[in-house]
Amino acid sequence: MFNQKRNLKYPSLFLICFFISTALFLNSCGRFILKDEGVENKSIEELSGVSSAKTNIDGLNTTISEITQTVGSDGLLAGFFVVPEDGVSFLLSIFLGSNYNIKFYSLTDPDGTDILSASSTPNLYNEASGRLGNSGYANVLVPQSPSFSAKAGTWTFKAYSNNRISMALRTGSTPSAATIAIQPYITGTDWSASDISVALIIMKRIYSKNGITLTINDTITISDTQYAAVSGTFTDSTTSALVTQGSTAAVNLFFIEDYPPPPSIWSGILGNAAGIPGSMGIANSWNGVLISLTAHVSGSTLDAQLLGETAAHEMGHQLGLFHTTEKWGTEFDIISDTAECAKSSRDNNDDGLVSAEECDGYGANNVMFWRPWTTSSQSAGKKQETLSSHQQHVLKYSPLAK
Amino acid sequence: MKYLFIICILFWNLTGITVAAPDKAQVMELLEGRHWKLDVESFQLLGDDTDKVLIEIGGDTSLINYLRFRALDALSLFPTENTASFLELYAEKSFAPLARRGFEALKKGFYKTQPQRVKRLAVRLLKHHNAQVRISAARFMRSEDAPRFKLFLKSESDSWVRKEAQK
Repeated sequence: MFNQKRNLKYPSLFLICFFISTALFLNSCGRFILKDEGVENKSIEELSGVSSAKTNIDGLNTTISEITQTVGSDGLLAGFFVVPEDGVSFLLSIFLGSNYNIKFYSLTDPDGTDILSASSTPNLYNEASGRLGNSGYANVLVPQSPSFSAKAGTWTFKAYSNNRISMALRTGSTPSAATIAIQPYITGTDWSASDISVALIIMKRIYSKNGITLTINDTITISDTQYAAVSGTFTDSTTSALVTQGSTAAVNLFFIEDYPPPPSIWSGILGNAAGIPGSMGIANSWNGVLISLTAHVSGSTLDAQLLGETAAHEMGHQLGLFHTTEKWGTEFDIISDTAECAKSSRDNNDDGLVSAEECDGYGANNVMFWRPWTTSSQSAGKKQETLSSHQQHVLKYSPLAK
Repeated sequence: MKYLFIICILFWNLTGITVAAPDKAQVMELLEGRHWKLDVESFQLLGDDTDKVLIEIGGDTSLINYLRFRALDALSLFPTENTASFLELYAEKSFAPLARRGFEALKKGFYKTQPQRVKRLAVRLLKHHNAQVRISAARFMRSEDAPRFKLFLKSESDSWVRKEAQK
């Protein structure tokens, strides 16, 4: 009897224990029983296209994850990812270990629109580095203008040969304001953190006037002499070693002593960003901007206003803003509410360029205008400190903002 | 009639050789911009005496450096004796960023016509106190005088400088 009872009782206990332990096991693996045919018993990671654990960026609602790709019959690598209902923005990045050209073929939103196709409206066909192609690294930012949004649902992509694709995905409530962390670095021994403090305050004021709060971390000094003068090419080994030191939770501003002289094309520039946008949230060669200190010296002191404007300008590029008007006055940014300064009507001296002076009242005061005011105009009080409402939108939705 | 002819010839010659130097403002206009690249064609259109204006800008210590740097770069398009002397002086006596640009402009503007002059300057700059200037000179010597470049690599104490010089 006892034995009979035990024989009846133990199978039930065994079954209960089996179901509980199985449920716990599946739960720990992130597996859930799903009703949809075809997705049954798949992990959340598999269902979202994500192949690795997500990494949270400190202090932000942004996660970094790698995305699985498979080779299609057309020879292209393909994959997908899911943007949740509370998705705010994402930066999809593609990498190749060497400096070969790298790019996406398509990026299709949940409604079936390929936003990288020339035939879609709107599109980033001729705008995103992820479609145009770039050396070793390229990306697509959504939104790069208010015409785009990180729509909830499944996005699919196709890409040419690459090593990996990662995504910085920001979630949360719709942003009405933004705070962005800034990490300044200074290289060489000619200048110290205190020398750039006024310029950083000016940059902070410029963004504050435009509804963006900057949290500026303490400047980090990198005194290794090899980083005093570095190339503006982010794949250069020395530049790469410098920029890779950047924070993953901030826009990294590298105030370098100088760029290399000619024949380097960087010799005469004030600053440059790693891309439009650059990388966000990942420590790599494209995670920051370079700004030449020596180029901003007048007499023996730094021109703080111009340096602050250059830092603000390069940071704008790094977060995805284009020049509002390009030098020839024939190309303009993808943002609809920025003033355009057309060569046809504004090139008063007929030199083929549109200067800030010629574009006074036509966008020359925008942070992202292609050219600063001449030194004489600056002396007369001219500044570049405004961002349009749509430019602010891009910054407020940035994966690096909160 | 003969004198009139001579006067005409003289006048014709004078108009032929005298090209007014461009305005400083006109030259400065071509040096402005945040992301700048040397516009060869526009500078050449300014005429021969542009070197004088560029030397004035390059040597003006009250100007912001990016304009002076660009002026030195543009000087390579006007290879006169004045230009060569100015660039040599700045390569040896000025602060490092200007010194490097002075040397590079001399190299670019005069290597074809006066290679020994460029080489003599490079040899002197191999001993410059600033590492970046030494790198610029060493890169030139690498293709110009391999034995001297090897000597430089042996004597250079900073390993990163040796590495950069070989890039």
